[in-house]
Parts: sequence; C-alpha cells; structure tokens
Amino acid sequence: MTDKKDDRRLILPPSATVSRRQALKMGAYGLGGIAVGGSLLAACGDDEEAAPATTAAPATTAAPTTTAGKDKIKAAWVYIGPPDDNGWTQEHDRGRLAAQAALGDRLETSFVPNIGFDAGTTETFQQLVDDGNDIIFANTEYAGLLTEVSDNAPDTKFCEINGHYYSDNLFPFYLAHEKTAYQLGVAAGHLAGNGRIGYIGAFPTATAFNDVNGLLLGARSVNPDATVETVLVSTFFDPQKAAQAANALLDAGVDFLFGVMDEPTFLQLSEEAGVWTGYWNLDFRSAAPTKYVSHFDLSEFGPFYTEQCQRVLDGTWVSQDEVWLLDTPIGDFGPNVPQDVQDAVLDAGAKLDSGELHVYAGPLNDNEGNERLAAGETIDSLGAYAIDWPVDGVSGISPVS
Amino acid sequence: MTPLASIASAVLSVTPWRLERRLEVDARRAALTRIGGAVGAMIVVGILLLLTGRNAFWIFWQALDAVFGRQRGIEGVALRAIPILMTALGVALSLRMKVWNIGSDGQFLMGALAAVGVGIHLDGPGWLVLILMAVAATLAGAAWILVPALARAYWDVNEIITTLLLNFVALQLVTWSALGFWRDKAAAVIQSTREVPFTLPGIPGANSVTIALLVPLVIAAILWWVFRSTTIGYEIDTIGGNPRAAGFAGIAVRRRILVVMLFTGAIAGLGGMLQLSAPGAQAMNAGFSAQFGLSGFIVAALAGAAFWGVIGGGLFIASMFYAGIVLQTKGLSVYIIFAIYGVILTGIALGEIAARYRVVRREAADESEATAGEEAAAPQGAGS
Repeated sequence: MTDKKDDRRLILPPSATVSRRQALKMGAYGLGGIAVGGSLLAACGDDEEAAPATTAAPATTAAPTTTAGKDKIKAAWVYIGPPDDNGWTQEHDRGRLAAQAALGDRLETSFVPNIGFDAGTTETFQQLVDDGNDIIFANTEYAGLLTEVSDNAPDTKFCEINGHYYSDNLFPFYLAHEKTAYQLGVAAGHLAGNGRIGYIGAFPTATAFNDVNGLLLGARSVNPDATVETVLVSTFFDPQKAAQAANALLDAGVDFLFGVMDEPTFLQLSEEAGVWTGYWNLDFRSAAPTKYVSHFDLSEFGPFYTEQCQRVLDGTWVSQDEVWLLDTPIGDFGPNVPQDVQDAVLDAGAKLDSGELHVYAGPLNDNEGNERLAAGETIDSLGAYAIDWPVDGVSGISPVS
Repeated sequence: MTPLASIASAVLSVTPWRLERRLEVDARRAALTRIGGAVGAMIVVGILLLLTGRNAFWIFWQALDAVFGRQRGIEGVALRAIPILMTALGVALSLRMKVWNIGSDGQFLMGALAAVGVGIHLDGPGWLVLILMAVAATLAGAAWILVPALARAYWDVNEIITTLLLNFVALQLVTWSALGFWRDKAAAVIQSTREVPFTLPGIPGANSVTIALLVPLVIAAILWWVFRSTTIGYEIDTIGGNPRAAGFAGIAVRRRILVVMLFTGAIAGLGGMLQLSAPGAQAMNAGFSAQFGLSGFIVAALAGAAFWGVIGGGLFIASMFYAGIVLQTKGLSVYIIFAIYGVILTGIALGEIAARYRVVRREAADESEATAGEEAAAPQGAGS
C-alpha cells in the first residue's frame, strides 16, 4: 500500500519573492522525484513509506538542462470546447494557427476538442505524449488530470492556462485582465444608470475574482454607489444556464451585463432588454448590435504559442518559476458608446499602464468585511493571479480563503 | 419483448415473415450472435466511413493498435472496465429478478463519496483505511438504493423512476461536497474534493492497474456460483420468471427483492471506491463517473444478465471507449465516434434478439400462434 504524495500542488503565494521562488523551484524538483518514487512503489504494491526523498532528483539550483534544438516539432492543444465556439476555444485555435503560420514546416500541430474533467482526460494527455508531441498546451486548468501524465513524461513540455502546478516540464500561463475589467468597469460606471452591474461567472477562480473586482472598482471610480451582482453557473459553455442567469440578472434590474461565457446568448438577451453588455473573448458586436460596449482582446495567444514552440525548436525551452502573464487589452468599442465614455476608458487604461493608477489599491475590504489590503498597499498583476476574494460591493460570490 | 425486438417485429409485420421466440436460448449461440452483431456493425461503420471519405482501414488499425498493440492500451482498457464491470454486475444481478436498477451511477457516486469521506479524514495504516473505505462505499451504495428497494418490494412502486432520479441527487451531492464541505481549495476550475492519499496496491508488472481489477472478476465468479448451485439463486431466478408463482411456492418474494436490490447498490458503491485508485481519480468532481452507470447498464442488458457475459461485454465496451479516446487524439470528431458507438451497440442488440428469436414465415407459423399469444399475455416485468 502506498501513501500517495499528499501535497502535489504548489501554489504561488500572492507576492512571490525571489528567494521564495527559488524554494518553489527546488520544491518542484523534490516533489517530482517523490512522484516518480511513489508510482514505482505503487507498481511494486507494497510498503507504507513512500515519502522520504531518497529517490528525489538532486535539488540543484541550476536551470533545467536544455535539450538540443530540433528541425521539426509536434505540438498539440487540448481544448475544453469546440474550436468554433465563438469564444474561448476559438481564440486559442486562432493562436494555434498563428503559431503554425509563423513556424511553417517546422511545426506540426493538432488539437483535441471537447475534453472535459473526467477519467478519460488523463488518457487523452497520455495518448498525446505517446504520439510524440514535443509540447502540449491545455486551454483550461486540468490540474491533477494533467499532472498525472506530465510528471511521468519528462521529455514532453506542457503549458497549462490558469494552472497552479510548476515542475520541470510544466508551467502555467494566464491572461492578466484585472486592468481590462477595470476599464470595462469605468464604461459600466458611466453607462449603467442605476449603477448595478450583472456578471455571469463559471467558477470562483482568479479569472472570476479579477472580473468582478475590476468591474466594481472601475465602476466605483465613476459612481461610488456601483455594485456587481454575480451568478456562477459552474460551466463556461451552456447556453441554457447562461440564459437563465442572464434573465435572472436582467429581471432583477441590472443596467450593465458582462460574463465569462464562451457563447453569446447573454449578449442577445441584453440587447433585447436594452441593457449595455460586453464579451470576454472576441469582438461579438453582431450579437448585441446597439448595446455592445467592448470585449477582452485575446490576441496574445498567437505570439505566446509561437514563442514556446520556437523555444522547443531552439532547445531553449525552460519551465518557469511563476505564472507567465499575457496582456489582455480592451477591444474596439461598439457603435453607440459615447465618445466621452470611450475617452474615459482609454484614459484609465493609460494610467493603469503607467502605474499612476492601480486596480487594487488599499484600503480594500472583501465582501465579508475583512480588511484585505491596508492603506497604501497595492497588488500587481502577478499578485492578482492569486486573488481569491471579491471586494466589498460584489455580491453572489464569496471569498475562498 | 425488448423495445428493439418490438421494433424489429413491427418492421417484419409488413413482410411474410415474423419473429418467433426460441424455446431455449443456447449460450453458445447467444455469444456468437452478439459477436456477429458487433462484427456486422463494424462492417457497416467501415462502409459509412469510406463513403464519407475517411480511411476506414487506417482508423480500425489505429484503434486495434492503440488497444492491443501495447501495454498502455491493455491497462487503459482495464482501468476503464473496472467501474463499468462493477455497475454492470450490480444491474445484472437485479435483472435476474426482472428488477431494473437504472440508478447504478448514483450508487457508484455515493459509494465513492463515502470512501472519500473516510479516506480524507482517517489516518492510519493504508490497508486498514482502504478496507474501511471499501466498507463505507459498500454500505453507502446499498443505502442509496434502500428507499427505491423498500418502495418496490413493499408498495410496488416502479423502481425505474425512483432509481433513475436518485442519480441526479447523487450528482448534486458530489458537486456540493466538491464546492463546499470537502472542497480542495487549491483546485480551481476543476472543483473537486480533497485527494484521498491512499490507493490500492498495483498488480505486479502493471504501471497503473491495481488489484481493483480482481474485484469484479471475483464478484462475477461468486454470482455465477450462487445462481448455479444455491437455492437462493434458484429462488431469485424463479421470482424473475414469475413473482406470483414464486410467492405460491413459498418464497419470501418481497424480502428477496429488497435484499437483492441492496446488493446491487452495494456492488455499484464498491465500484466507486475502486475507481478512487485509478490514475488522476483520487479526488471527486462532477465528472468522476464518466457515465459508468449507464455503460454498465448497457453491458448488463446486452449480456442478458449472464455474469460471464457481463465480463466479456464490459471488456469489449471498455476497449471501444478507450479506442474512442485515442481516435479523438488522431483527429476523428467526437460526434463520429459517438455515432460509431451507437451503431456497434445496436449491432450487438440485434445479435441479442437473434439469439432469442428466429424469423419464420407466417403461414408455417400458424399453429404456433397459440403459444406466442400466451407468451404475450404472461406477466411482464416492468419495462421488459
């Protein structure tokens, strides 16, 4: 019987210092060794003491040895949805095609769509490893379903969006979007007459917290009474659930509706209700021709995928000690957004980029009344990735810790 | 008559032929017609793939190679088969007395949930915790079918509805535990419970298959023996044949129904605990059961509740599902794969009909009309 490694996940602390990052790195080596040791023992089927790191790889502080460059590599993408979902997965696939176009014959790409969170997922990743892919990208956090495979496939590189696990061959990447949400919040503060903003979320993750917090803080910079009402529907792609949530929020009287859905049902309902709306993934003004405000622009996937594949080609790919942040600029405005609102949004963006303005600036309380940020303290994009609490003024979602 | 047999019979009604039930179902023929059905369906699938411009030979080769060409494939099939076999054996047991337990998915989930509860809260020697997890899972699976079983046994409430609906309740409980009281706060998008730190010992020489694989084989052997050699098995079969006659013969029908249903739930529940030793499945989320209960139900129904048939059928369906996962990574659309599953299962179902019926010309069958009529009037188990 084998005691499984009981702490397989490494969580990046809110503000990782250099020394702590170094420790994380070393921890990752040690855990990798334990993981291998553990599964070896499991195969032997005896013993209670799997833990001592006698089988662990030496915890050197040197960078992982880079492999020699290659003439041609294979890369695979694992998608949670279909590549024509008009949203999240479509943008990732656009990124894949951009990498393909940039690297031409030297890169062979493939993708597997509609991979959910069940026992078959591990087998999917394993098959992609067995097929000789050099690098595999996951377009959602598959956590243990992925690391079960990556820990035993040291020669394959992995990049997992929104992930929390770091090892020699796996690191997470993330769209830093708290500033974008703040900018959209500025627009909402101007456009929502009653100051009430609705938000349709999927899961209580950093993505959702930065959405609602950015919206609220941006809106409050204009209208100090603004609020954000949240409905979480536990899925990114379910038009029925999204429609239910949208109707509930619209019936309740919100004057601005945003969401992290991968399909535009809620945009259409907003349009019908005459309520301003925006979209996460791409320009979808066709779903709400008159009430469209803007969207989060996900064009950074292409350059990111290209760069990672290029590094594998060059033999310079290394894992990272901290989450790889991608920019998420705000997209073009809808036709009816007044010029002064557009100016205010762009002005806020410029101030956020220059550091004159911060999304998270103390004093800030969460919505249960606990002080989270003292006066004078700020949180940057890296810290925002670890945020798991909604600011005061957001309802419908609770702090995780 | 099964629904499919009714359809076949309706189709034949416009022809000079009709279906006639065979007096005896020969086990060898039963196996051969099912295999024939599967092979025939694969030929149909191949033709359809070729007609739509896909290289059917390449696809079949990839599927065979992925499953049988390497140890990983064989282990992958075994891992997929364990939960399917457990739910299928539970359903097959209930089918022997014509009780339709559609709720094995819920019993499977509740068993796993109880095992998770034990595994994340108890500390101690691994073997002891694992045994306690198995006990908890077995009891939880039985408990989850207790109300439908009581209602069926004592108030004749249709168990199809009650067991089916409890599946959704079980799934909600799993989601609640993953979001709430046993939530793993480090997990984000995959909302799951905390991980159970104990797994079953592996089979020597295997990378990921544990001794969990032996459990369905042992249970199949026990059930086979019970129905071959014991009075209890004979009584259950008698109830399945005709519950009223069984009552007149002095069999405690209601109590037997109750106990058998509890056992079917217990087996599915234990299956949930076994699944916790599969790779990547140490924590529970809403996707913990990849419709294992439904797959198990199909296996049991197609196997005609024969326990060794369940093992063979379960391994076949597991191979099919595993090949489907591999083919997806080769670029075959998931919708085409589902269509292939459907055609193959239909082929096996037709094979099952072929084992129990034969096609005769109407004129020639006139004198046997009387017996067929009697059969139709005989009391039928719900949904049969």
